[in-house]
Amino acid sequence: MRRSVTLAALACAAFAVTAFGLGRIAPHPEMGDLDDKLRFFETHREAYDTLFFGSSRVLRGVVPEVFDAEMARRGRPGRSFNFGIDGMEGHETVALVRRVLAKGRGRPSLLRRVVVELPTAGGLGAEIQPENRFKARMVFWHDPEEARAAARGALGKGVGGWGAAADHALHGLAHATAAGGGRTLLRQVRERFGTVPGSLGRPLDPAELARSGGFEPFSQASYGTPSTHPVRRRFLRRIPEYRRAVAALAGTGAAAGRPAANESQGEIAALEHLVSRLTAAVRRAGAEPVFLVTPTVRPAPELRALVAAGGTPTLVAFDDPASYPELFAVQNRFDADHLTTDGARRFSRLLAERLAGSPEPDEDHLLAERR
Amino acid sequence: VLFTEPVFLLFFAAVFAAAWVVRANRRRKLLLLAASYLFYAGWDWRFLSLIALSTGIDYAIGRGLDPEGPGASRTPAGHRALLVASLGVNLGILAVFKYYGFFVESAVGLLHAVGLDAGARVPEIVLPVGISFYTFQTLSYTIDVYRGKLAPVRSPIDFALFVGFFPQLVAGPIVRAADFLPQLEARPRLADVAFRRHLTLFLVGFVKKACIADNLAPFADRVFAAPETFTALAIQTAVALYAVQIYCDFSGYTDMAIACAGLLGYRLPVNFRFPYLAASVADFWHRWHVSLSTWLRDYLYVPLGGSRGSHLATHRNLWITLLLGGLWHGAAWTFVVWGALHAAALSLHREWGRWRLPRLPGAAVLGSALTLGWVLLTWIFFRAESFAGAGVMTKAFLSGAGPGPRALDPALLLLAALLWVIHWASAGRPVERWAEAMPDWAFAGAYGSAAAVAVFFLPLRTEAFVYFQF
Repeated sequence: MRRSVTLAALACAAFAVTAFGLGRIAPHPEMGDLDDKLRFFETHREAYDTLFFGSSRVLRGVVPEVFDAEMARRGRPGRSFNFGIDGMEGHETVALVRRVLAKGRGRPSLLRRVVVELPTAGGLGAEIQPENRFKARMVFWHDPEEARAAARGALGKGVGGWGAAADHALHGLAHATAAGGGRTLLRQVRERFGTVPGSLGRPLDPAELARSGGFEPFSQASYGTPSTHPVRRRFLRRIPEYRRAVAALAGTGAAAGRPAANESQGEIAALEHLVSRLTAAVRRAGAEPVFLVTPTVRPAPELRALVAAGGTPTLVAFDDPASYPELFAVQNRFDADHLTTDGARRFSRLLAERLAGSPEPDEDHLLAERR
Repeated sequence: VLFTEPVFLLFFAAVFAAAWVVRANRRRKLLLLAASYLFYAGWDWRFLSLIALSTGIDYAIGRGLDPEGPGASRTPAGHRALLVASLGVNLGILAVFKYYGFFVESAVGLLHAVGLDAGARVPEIVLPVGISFYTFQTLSYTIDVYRGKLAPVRSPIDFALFVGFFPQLVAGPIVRAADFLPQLEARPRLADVAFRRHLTLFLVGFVKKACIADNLAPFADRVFAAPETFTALAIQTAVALYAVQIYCDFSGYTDMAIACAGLLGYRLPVNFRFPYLAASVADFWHRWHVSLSTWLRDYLYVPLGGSRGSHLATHRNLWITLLLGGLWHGAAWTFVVWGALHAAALSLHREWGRWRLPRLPGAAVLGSALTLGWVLLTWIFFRAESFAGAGVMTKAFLSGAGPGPRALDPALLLLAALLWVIHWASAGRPVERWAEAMPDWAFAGAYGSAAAVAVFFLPLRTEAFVYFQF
């Protein structure tokens, strides 16, 4: 028996050592667009002073070219990059921000501000949906810090419970054992011998990324007739409903700072923890965090409560239709959550206007942070 | 839950520990039965009722066929009626859940072809996982008991475990009652378990299924989904990759099943014997999904008359067996054509054998190459999503003239060739032999490292999260 236990321990040790070594060679699995953006940023990290992080609302809503032009027009020239990714929320955002700004990689010297779409509390610490289990991005964001935070969040009051915590722990284990890194390694090997035709997905062209700054509008084909994009189709069918939601929001609920009704105490606590870690990660990189609420008809009052309690440093919110009617006009909406390309250009200008109006992050403070 | 998922590893570790802690054989079997049903419920608990129904009916029929059993039928006619009842229920369940949609669709298509619009809607019926496998197992039991080749089992637990034993429940191998039930009579001894062999086999199967098959799948999928847009080389590459994929997928899963059963102290039959090294199509069927091919031989081909009748009858029996064998793999005409292509090759091979031609030098190599080529060609029909697609691919595969401009990475063809060489080199089972020869500490270290490398090469899905799919 003792011998068996010793041999099992030896096998586990060999597993851990080998996994650690492999994780050094290929640190994360292939992740499609996110990979392309990470790779691009690695070689262009000194070019940007503003980074945007968030979900599809940021990816398809912030046009760096327009934002930069408006900032320059207002005497704040710079260059921004959109790190938005479809479906990115909560913990994944924090993990990505930490990774991009990691000290070991050398802090981007020009970086002044990091604009992060403020995550919502809903779903934080919940069980991972079966369809999303062990997807590359899911494993990627479960680094030790994030896996621990997610598991801890899951054990909060009224959240996922032990099952969800175990799920996060398993994903953390997959991350720790470099699961899925082999494909990245094979890709790296192939890149040494030239381009990689036929790789999975549609790789983003670096030149195109440099031009677009990471912004990706919905394809024109998605707009066309109602027979195209299912979400667009649904939106077009429910425009009166959308208008009612906008009218209900205008100048009322979203900005009122009332406490959350749907989120559990556990979720709110997890959100507070997440926001404070995001803030710390950005400040460690010598930049200033700006939290962004995109124009959406889904109010997140818990975020306002958080801000009112002093939980976030800077908040720019565009979720009040009374203040930003053009962002909620049907012709500028792709659907209830997203903007059309025209809408995104307007939003980017307004965002620049708001940020240019706020004080520039203090140079001495940033330099002191960098040191 | 797949064998390659971490949840299964945790589940199996718990079952393994509990199975060896429990001392009484009956309790152990109850534990394994409960674990098997729990495992199946992980897919869809509602279909447990089907397994229970199939198990209950065949157990009762088995008891009815038992001359010493209570309420047993004493007459040949009664025995025959019980056999027919078993065939009816089992094949009926299979027909409803697996083939009903196919039959309706085919009938509607046929009526449409003769100008009649049936207007029938093709029903969408969920296919219960593993139904083809456990149905064949229960059928073989009843038929063997009816033939007097097997004594009916008395213990309902033993019979239920034979039908539902989780390692082989969802993807085989198809186990014969005569092989499995005797193993349940006494509790296995831990000292008799070949741990090293089974652990190695599990890892080999894991690598085949998760690291090779699952990594190759997207490339073949892309070409099979729209073959008309690809070059001939891309199509040939995709067919070669698919051949590797399906073999590694199926045999890898079987390896893991055999290993899991072995670690619990039970023996499952070998299902694959390096099929792409076959010298002829007949040899291929002695190497590919052996538990199915022998089942079809013993319960379909031989009862039809086998090769005992006229020359023509033998060919007829061969064709019926292969056509139904094709249909067993999936409810679509493409599978029937796949079976027909193999039947044609087997008929030709049989005729060739009758001519007693002198063996020419290099005939063996030529035979292997022709067999491999034919098997590759038939995989097109096995995997194709439509006859139109299969036609495009077959033409491009044979002629080398591609219909479209899209290419696949040429390195993938090299990869397919490399994997075929590994298949060839593995025929002597070198990995298992190395594992057996190592000192304990070296085996433990090598196993841990190899497992880490396998995890490193796991394919993780790259598509967007589902919550973005609106």
